[in-house]
Amino acid sequence: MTCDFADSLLQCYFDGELSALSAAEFERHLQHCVDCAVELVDLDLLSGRLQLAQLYEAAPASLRKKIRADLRSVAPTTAIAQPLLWHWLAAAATLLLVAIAGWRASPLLRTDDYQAELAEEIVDAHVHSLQPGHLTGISSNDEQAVKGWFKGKLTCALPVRDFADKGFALQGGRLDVVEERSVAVLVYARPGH
Amino acid sequence: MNDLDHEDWLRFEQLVLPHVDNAFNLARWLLRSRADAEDVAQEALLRVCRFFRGFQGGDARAWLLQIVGNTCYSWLEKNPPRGLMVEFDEELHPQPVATPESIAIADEGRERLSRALETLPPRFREVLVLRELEGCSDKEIAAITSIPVGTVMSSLSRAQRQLYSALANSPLKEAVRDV
Ligand SMILES: [Zn+2]
Repeated sequence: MTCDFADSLLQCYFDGELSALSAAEFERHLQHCVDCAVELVDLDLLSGRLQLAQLYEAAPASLRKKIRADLRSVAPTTAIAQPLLWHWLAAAATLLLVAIAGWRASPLLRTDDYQAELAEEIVDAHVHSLQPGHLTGISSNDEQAVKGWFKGKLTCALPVRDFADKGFALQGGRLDVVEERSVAVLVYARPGH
Repeated sequence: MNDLDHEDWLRFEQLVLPHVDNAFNLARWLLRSRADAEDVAQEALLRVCRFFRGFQGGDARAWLLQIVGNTCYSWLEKNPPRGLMVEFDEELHPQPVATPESIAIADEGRERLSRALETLPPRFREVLVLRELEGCSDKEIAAITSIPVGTVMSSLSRAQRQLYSALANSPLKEAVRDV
């Protein structure tokens, strides 16, 4: 760079970061400095051409697979199979509480006018859902399907696991409403029960 | 080695795993190799997992990127680059099928840009990637790279200039012919 201004001010001028006074001064300088004029055009060209964002490279599927495999070996869910089942269920219960805290019934449903009516409906729905064979929500033993069903209904992701091999077969999931708040419920069936 | 309890694990899954792409992308540009980036990103993710217990919340992406950066630099120290080595990645640039010419022209800009970026020193690549590809602010870049904000700003403008002169020095048709 042969011109001091080009070094110190040009980028700021280009980025619009100079005060009005400094900008005006720089523009006077521009009128008789070929270096700066050329540099400015270059910068302009550069900003148009430097779409660096197009260089973004997403991780290959193989990396995700490797990470999943690595992490699975250290993940507490699978580290110790049998004794951890109850630990896991306890953790899931904790998470349900998180879900309760995170997901409130729509404000539209919370207006006083509808409160009494709703309360009745809620109780009805709840009692209904407890009857055998009845499942409001999704009835599926597919973890992904159940997880997908909750998606959009909860503000946090709900881990859904099938424990069929441990005697708890995933049956589905539903949203119950307890004290005006939605509760995510995972339904498991125990064969013979 | 790993003391994550289940809640930590869930937090890790929710906070860190969504940033695998970001981790890989930074490593790819710092190491100039997809294969090496894959190894280093994997290592960085595991490192984060190992220390996740101590993570008090905050910007998990920034934390991950910082560890990716550090892991890359120590990798570069152990494996000094043998001159400028530009790879051509089949996966990334599938061979043109229909109209080779038009595809070559479309890829030319990207290819030149990519080569120009790879001629920059790692620090310059890092700040540019964080700014232009990750959209980080000066402050975030400073936190991730552990360099002062003022230095981040001057590095960015120097990096941009150097990138431009690298671009200006690469003849327009060269990239296409080389391919
Ligand atoms: Zn000048």
